[in-house]
Amino acid sequence: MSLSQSLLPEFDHEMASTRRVLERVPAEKFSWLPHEKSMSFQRLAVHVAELPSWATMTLNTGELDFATTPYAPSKAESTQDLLTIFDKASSEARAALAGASDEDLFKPWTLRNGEHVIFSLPKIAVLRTSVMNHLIHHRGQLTVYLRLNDIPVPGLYGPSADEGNM
Amino acid sequence: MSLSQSLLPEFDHEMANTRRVLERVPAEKFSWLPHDKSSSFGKLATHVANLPSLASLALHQDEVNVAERRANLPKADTTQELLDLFDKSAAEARASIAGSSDETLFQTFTLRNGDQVIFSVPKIGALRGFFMNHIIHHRGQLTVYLRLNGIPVPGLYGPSADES
Repeated sequence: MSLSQSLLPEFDHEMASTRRVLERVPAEKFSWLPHEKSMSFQRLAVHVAELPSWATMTLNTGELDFATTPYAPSKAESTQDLLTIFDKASSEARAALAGASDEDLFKPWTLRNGEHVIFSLPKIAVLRTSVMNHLIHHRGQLTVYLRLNDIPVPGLYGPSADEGNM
Repeated sequence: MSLSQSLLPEFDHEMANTRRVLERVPAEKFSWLPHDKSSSFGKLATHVANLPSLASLALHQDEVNVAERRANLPKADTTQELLDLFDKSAAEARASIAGSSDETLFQTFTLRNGDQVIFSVPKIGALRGFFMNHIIHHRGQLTVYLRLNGIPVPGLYGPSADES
């Protein structure tokens, strides 16, 4: 089994769970935030929806330089916009992953800000940490945002309190 | 490079960041919860601190009954006890991963609740879905709990609003 084939079942599982969370983010709460230093519901959800595109970028390029390519978040005005961003990002990421050879996955990928190298790691490590773990981290935060707005939380690694105890 | 050797740098990185989050959970807020359906701060932090033991279980056993495990989980009453739980479970998990052959990692691990099979997957898949992704999910929730209590959030995948 190739390395990419070994990653796809987990990718599919986590992306399906992520879509279940994004589906519940209501547009009328987009400007809500739990604390003045927090990201708004909209900004956090857009970040999660876009994150799979980092997998595609990692697999198709050798580096990203924040100095020449500043981050500009996608616009979403509705829950459907969020899902459209996510569906495009996740289907492109899946195709890029499915097409990656073991050799590709061990090539280095660098994140830099001009001369300053933030990290340079094998692509497989970037996919794990900067894409998958990063997405799961912010998706976890989104589940608290849902709860604080009395929106039922989908169970991700076991049933949530809205789904009853095991 | 063996499969287990390829997992350790990520393990060490994520566990170091997890400890940075747990260090900031104040004992006097253990009973605080953001919503009446939420886990309390102490319960969520204890869950995160115990989670690395799932990696050890998945590698040393071929199946786990979730109902039995839940009844035997250690508790923490102070931040130091939380860190002691975490340091022990993380050190054991690291040793378990480091000692696993590729062959072991492709053996099947089954999680059940009594007679019901919740999942049955290769151990390498359980390390990702059952342990790593699971701990990152709840650690993400913990960072919101920190923020809501005015406690500076450590940056994990980039600077937090308290650091930038």
